[in-house]
Amino acid sequence: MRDRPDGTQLLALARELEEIAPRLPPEERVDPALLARAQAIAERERQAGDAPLAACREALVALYGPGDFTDLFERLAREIRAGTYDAAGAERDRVCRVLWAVTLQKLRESNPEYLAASAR
Amino acid sequence: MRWLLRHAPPPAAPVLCHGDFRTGNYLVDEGRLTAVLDWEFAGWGDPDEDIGWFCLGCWRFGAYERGAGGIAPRAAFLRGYIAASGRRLDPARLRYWEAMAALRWLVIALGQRDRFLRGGERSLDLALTGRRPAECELEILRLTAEPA
Repeated sequence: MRDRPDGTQLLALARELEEIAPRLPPEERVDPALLARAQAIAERERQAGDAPLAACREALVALYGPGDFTDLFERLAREIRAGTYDAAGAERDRVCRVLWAVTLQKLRESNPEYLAASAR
Repeated sequence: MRWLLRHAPPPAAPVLCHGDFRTGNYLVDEGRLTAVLDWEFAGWGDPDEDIGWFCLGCWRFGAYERGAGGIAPRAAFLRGYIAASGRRLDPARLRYWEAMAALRWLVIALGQRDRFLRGGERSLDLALTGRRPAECELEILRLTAEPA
């Protein structure tokens, strides 16, 4: 699972802003640190391919059984909102495992430095 | 959101809150606070709200181990706060307001992202903010984990 904008969108915007940069005054040019960050996210996504999505799907299937990823995820959101997993127990633990899996996977691509720093 | 709904503490007597008190919004000169900036979110509220916002992991700018705004250990900050304010701090209330801070920043980040995705603003800063919510989700998962 990936948050939007994805690496392709970030890269397209980065290229567009790089192209117009020479025609802009220095203070209006895109920040090189932001360019580097966008390129790094896109590269991590390219390298990871679909593997992280498969890992999230696996965690969801362990909870609900086979099904469409979006449908299952929406069902999970509905049930959390409805209070289905309010009580501590094995079911809630399974839900937490899904949420952790999705969050860690997103951070590995979006901001691995944050993940590494927060794990220390 | 579900956890926040279920764990809301009883209301505290309202005080003037800054509303965006975090590293980046104050000036320090030779170890002394010289100014607090950006008061546009100030209003009456729960005093722990500002503490939760200040301690949010996303405002530590990489110095994650310094739990108070990336500038000091959390315990040292809280000791200083208690000494200066005379207030007693309740860990459960702080936990709630830290989770609320993470949710608040998550919602703001999504709004900034939408200025790029839907509003058409060609800003890489806004676009990249769309990849920040996972940081808040990590904090929320940590803060809302029930003790075994």
